[in-house]
Amino acid sequence: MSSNAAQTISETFEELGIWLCGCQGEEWSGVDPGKLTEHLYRACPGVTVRIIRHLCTDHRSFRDSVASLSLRAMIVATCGDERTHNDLRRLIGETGADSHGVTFINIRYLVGLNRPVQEREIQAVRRLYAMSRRALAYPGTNPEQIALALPGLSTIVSRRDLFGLARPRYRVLPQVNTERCAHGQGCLYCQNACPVGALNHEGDRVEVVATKCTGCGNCLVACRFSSISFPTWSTVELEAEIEGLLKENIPGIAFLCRHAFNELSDICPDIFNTHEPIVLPSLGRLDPFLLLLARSHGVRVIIISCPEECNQGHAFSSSMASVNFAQYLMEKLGFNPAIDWVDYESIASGNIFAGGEKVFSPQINYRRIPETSENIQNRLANLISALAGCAGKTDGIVTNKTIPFGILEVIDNRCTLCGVCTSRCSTGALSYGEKKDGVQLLFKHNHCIACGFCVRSCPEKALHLRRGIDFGLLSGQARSLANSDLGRCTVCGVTMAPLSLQAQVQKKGDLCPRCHIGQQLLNY
Amino acid sequence: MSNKMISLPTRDLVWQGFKLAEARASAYALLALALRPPVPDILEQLISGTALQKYLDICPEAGMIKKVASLTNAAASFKSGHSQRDPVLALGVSYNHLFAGPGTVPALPYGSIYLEGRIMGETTMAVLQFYSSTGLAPDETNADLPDHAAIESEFLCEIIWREMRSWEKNDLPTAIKWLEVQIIFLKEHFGRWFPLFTSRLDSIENTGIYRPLLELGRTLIAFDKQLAVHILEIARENNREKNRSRLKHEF
Repeated sequence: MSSNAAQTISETFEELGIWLCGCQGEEWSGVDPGKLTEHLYRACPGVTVRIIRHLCTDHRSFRDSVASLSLRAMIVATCGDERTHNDLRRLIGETGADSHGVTFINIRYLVGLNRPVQEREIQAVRRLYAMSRRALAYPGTNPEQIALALPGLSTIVSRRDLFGLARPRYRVLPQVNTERCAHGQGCLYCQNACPVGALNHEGDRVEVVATKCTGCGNCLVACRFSSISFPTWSTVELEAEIEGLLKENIPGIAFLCRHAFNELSDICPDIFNTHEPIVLPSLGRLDPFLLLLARSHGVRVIIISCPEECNQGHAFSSSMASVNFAQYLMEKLGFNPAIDWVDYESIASGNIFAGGEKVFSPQINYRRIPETSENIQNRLANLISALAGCAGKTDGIVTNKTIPFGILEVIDNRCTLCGVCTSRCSTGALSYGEKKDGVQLLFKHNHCIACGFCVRSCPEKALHLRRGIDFGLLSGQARSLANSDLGRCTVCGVTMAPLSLQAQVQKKGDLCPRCHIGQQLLNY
Repeated sequence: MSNKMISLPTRDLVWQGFKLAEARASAYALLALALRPPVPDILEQLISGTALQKYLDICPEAGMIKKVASLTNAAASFKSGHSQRDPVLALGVSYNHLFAGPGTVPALPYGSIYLEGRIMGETTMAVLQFYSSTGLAPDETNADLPDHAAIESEFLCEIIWREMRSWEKNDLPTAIKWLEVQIIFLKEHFGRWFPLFTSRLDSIENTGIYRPLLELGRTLIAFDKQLAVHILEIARENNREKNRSRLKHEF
């Protein structure tokens, strides 16, 4: 499997291989893997499908099968558990293929329960199709992101695990892009979001502590500077899976963690007949983009949490903030919010979601941004713009504390175009632009995450920031906040600093730049 | 806490409440002024100590006498030490080194830094919502984040001033309402993070007037929290008495 592949969503599946366990045990619930294969060839043109009779134990056949094909993406459906998946992952690694991008699933996840066999086949195909799109969106593994996976000291280790420890296991960790990271400006978003303290902010960079990281994905959502990448759980991959699932007319989608999924599969599997599950590493991975993407397809969205304290330690507050914002936006745009948060015991005890065939507006043709780099904020802005367009809302401003965008204004023409704010802006929302014989301060609303760094650093105290959405600016055009002509040398005519800045500096006499700015602060 | 106010009749409570509110508002107004970039007469105000004297006169047990003296001396010493140049400019430089920048500073004066480790955080939005629940909002021309120490201090000053106006009109229920707002604000916002902000200067040398100022602020807030609760309890008791005697009179 090659690495460094572009993150694109492909509708051709020639680079994908799907391995199915052919044991036809009770996990299959009567579904014939052979028939499933026929459906897959139709749903995923070009895909390679292999059925291995005892996939979980016939390691030689599996390894030979993998080695004989050179595929970029793989999905392996077994009836085994995580230990089996780890063993198979190791075997894939031994063939030289990229084992970290392989998607392992239990067959139980594929086939629906308590339904006729034909419907279970359709459901399995639908889920495999969605997972195929996600697998093909995997960008390839960066070797720097691979770390030795060790159990925590407090983990109770069984004898079998003890023997398993002898074999090193590796997994992919989140990686911080130092160019985008705002750690140097005192940003602690990711550190505060991490439930296990796996992000080390000492020194001049942020590092992920491999021995602590549980892969929950909270940091990915917390960092709105898009400086953390985490393949397998990236927004691009999840987007591909969600869109794959929602291609057909299904009533709803459920976001939940693995623990909740396993519990519900035992106590109330019917919920997954009406709500396709998207299993996340933890609910901390939930972000508004995923919720709004699902709603943009006109389906109901439910978030299923555990009734007790999350063992991943994810912050309910951050997930609730995502839900609150998505609900608020839906209401503002005149749509039925249709986003609910419940715990799995409530689902099991009542008929909260009986039926659920109703389609909830809107249904829009959302055109995905064909970006190879993941800019969460830009993607969210693009999606909200599409939703707003569908609602006929192409201008106007809404402000609310839950909104993750900022609206920036210059007060009283105080801006001297000194450029300090543009150097502090880590998202590219503020930049210098040219105008005839001068410069201007440009603001891109769809990039602004309302971090406040610009306001804090402005020496003129010229900026006012509030959280809100300006529907007229979501599509990405820049707005000029201030402009000034450039001063020119009276002898040779070469351009110098903006006239407004020169005027301020000249007022202060002989002061060093730090004290110039200090003096500017005195004058308001 | 002094017991002298415990059994005051309403007439005296109104007078005492008014004087206390006046003193408290004056103290927070000075704190707010000093936490902004320096203005021309700030050193003179700190040296004279007039704004804090009313508080010291009414509440000598607040433990602030030494802190006020320390601040007054620091201000006088700063002024005389920079008499060759413009002392206000020098104070501005000191302010920027500690609180504003450019560059990294030891003590950012924003509540969300200490409550959640970032600026423009959830607590910033929460304090903004708190302001609007009282019908107030930061003046947009004061371009800074809503949880700046000076803005929160100004807000406290404003609601204490409204309490003072209520005492002046003998409007006990409204005075009680504003006292409740102050107590919530001190407990959940300003009073929670100001001590942490103050402690950031502990290991910094050459803080000028700012370490004594923040330490005074910390002592003021700690005492004021208790004082406000005490006044509220007495005010409520008096209000209940007033209602009981009014009902007796009616029947």
